[in-house]
Amino acid sequence: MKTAFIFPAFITEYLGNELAILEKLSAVFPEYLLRSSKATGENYINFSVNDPSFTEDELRSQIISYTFSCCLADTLISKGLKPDFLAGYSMGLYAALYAGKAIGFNEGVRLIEQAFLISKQKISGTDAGMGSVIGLTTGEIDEIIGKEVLEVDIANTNSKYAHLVTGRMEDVNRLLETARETGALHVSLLPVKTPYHSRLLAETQHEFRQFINDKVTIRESGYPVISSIDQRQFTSPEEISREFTHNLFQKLDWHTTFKTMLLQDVQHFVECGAGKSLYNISRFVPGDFKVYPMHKIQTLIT
Amino acid sequence: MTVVNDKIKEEVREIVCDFFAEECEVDVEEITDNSNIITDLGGDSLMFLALIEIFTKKYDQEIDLKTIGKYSIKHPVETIGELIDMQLKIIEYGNDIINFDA
Repeated sequence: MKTAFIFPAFITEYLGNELAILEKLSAVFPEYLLRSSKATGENYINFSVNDPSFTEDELRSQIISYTFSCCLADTLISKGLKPDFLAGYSMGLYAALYAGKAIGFNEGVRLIEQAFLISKQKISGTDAGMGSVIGLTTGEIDEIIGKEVLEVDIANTNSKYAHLVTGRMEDVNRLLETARETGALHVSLLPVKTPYHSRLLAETQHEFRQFINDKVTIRESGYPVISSIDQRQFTSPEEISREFTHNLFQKLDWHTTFKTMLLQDVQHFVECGAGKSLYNISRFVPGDFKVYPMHKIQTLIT
Repeated sequence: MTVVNDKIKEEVREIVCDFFAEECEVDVEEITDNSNIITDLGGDSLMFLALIEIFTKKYDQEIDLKTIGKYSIKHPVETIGELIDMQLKIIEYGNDIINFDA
C-alpha cells in the first residue's frame, strides 16, 4: 500500500482551524510565514484565515497556500510519513517539488511570483478569468466553446462532470451562462483574474523557461512526481523544468492523475495544504482509497 | 416511472441527512428540512452531484444530468427539504422531471 502527497492550488475555502491543526502537529508555521516574508519582502507573519488581504489577493493567496503546503509536508516527513508519489494540483506543483527537495523554499516562492508576473504581463489589457462548471462533460463544454466560438479552454478536469474553465472574461461568462441554460447543475466564476492553463498564456513559456534556467537550481526530486498534464512520472530536473513551464498554459486532468496514482497502488492520499478541496474532488473517483485532508492527518501519524 | 412510497421517502431522507452529516461534519440531529445546504451546513455543488450519483446507482436509473440542471433553473435547491423533494421527483419521473412544472 502506497501513499501520495497531493498539493492543492490557492485555497478558496479554509476550514478555519488550520493554524490550530498545525500547532497540534507541532508544526512551526510561524517560521514558514517568516520565510515567506523574507523571500517576498512582504509581511506574511500576521496571516489570518479571516484576513482578505491574504486570502483574496491572487498572488498572496498562492504564497500562503504554498507556505501551508511546505510546512505540512516537512512536518509529516519529519514524523516518518513519507510519500511514494507527489502530485500538485495546478499551482500546487511548486509545493510538490519543494517536498521532493527539487527546489528550495525561496525558489518556490520566486517561481510563484515570477509565474504570476509573467502571466500578468502576457495578458496585459485583457480581462481574463476562470470559472467552474458542474454537471456537464468535457464534450458538452467543448461543444459550447465551439458553437459560440469562445476564447475559453477547459483548464482542469476534476471529474467526469466537474471542470474548471479559463480564458477571456467575457467569453468565460458567456460559457457559464450557456452551460447553465444547457443543463449544468451549477456554474460559478472563480476569484481569479489570471487565466491559468489557458492558451492565452502559451507565450509565457519562453520567458518563464529563461527565468528558470537563469535563476533557479532544480535538483532531482527525491520522490517521483505524477504530471497533472499528461500523467507521466518524472524526477529529473529537465522534466521538472518542462512541467513548470507547461503547467501555466496547458490543460490539466486531475481526475486521470488521481486514477493513475490508484493504478500505482496508492491507497492513502495526504492532502498537504489548507482546506479540503482535493478531498472534495476525490469523491468522484471510484476505488478503494482514502484521502486525508489536513484535519484528518493526525490519525496517520499517531 | 417509479411509485414513491413512504419507505422510499424515508430512505431518501436518511441517505441525504447521513451524507451531509458526514461530509459537513455536523450532527445528523442538527439537520432539518430548513437547513440551508451552503450557509448552514457548509455544503457545495459537488456534494449535490455526488448525491445524484449515489441515488442513480441505488435506484438503478439512467439520468441525463442536464435534465436535472434544467429543472433546477426553475426549481432552485437551497435547503435539505428542497433537495429531498427534488430527489424524490427524480426517482419518480426520471428524465421526465424536465416536464414536471408544479
